[in-house]
Amino acid sequence: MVGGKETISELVCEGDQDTQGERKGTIAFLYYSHLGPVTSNTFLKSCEVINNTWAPGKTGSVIGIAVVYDLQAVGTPGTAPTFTVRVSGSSVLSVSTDTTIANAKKARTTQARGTDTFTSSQDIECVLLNSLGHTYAKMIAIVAVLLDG
Amino acid sequence: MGNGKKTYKEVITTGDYENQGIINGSTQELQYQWVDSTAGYVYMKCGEVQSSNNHGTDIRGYLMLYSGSIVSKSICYDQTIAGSHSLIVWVNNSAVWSTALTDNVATGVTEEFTQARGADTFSAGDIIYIAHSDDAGSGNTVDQMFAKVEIIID
Repeated sequence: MVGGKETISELVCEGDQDTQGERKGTIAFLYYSHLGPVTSNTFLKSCEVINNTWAPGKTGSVIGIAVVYDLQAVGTPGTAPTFTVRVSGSSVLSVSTDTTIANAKKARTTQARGTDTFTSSQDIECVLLNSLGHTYAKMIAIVAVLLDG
Repeated sequence: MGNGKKTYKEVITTGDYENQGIINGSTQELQYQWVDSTAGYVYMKCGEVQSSNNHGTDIRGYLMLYSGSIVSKSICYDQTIAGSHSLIVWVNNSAVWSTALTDNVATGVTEEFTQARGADTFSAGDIIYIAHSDDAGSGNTVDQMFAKVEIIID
């Protein structure tokens, strides 16, 4: 049976779902890393490229960031540094670190779709904002985006 | 405004499918690599950072934002010396899915494995990473490894 367009608030599909056109509203993961050690503001790398970005190619929203990292030394006391998602240079979503020295620390946060949006031609960066001289290393990050189309 | 919740056994959309919320049940691919020659047990890299498990501490890999299941894994590699070997997916401090690889000295070997959704699950906050093992000193040696773990987000 082929129906027309229907708008519903929630759809549960108990089996397979076959979309023969384009599926709009899917999650994509953007990957970043940096071996460090670093003691200042640092762009995480996309693949082997530093200070570079993922271009989404479609409009969408930033919905999460998750980072595993080492904090090797603490610099100047003050507000804890953050791992921050930037869209074309503007900070949109951050997750705070703390000042306990340890390996393989974890930080993550999510937010609702539509809170921070981007267009297809904008750049999405993952940046360690660290103005206090803390020493970070072995950073592995995922930025989750939800693509509108 | 929508017409409420509907449950179907199967949905086929002949045109586009637009979801204005979040699609639960979508897949993502986690990518890992290890270029150098290795004859031991190696946790592969996430980007330029090596994943790790130092006897249950210093666990590094991709940190999950959502719960889900591990549904496939694959690897492309060069095998330079014969010997049995395995591909192992880890979640936190547990090796959850270990599979023997083909023992065949060759370049550009590709192998893929799948399993049902729900077989190996994870929660938000868990760390997923992957290792290659030479199976306790079999002599197996490989390099140029590129691996993928496919997950379904709940």
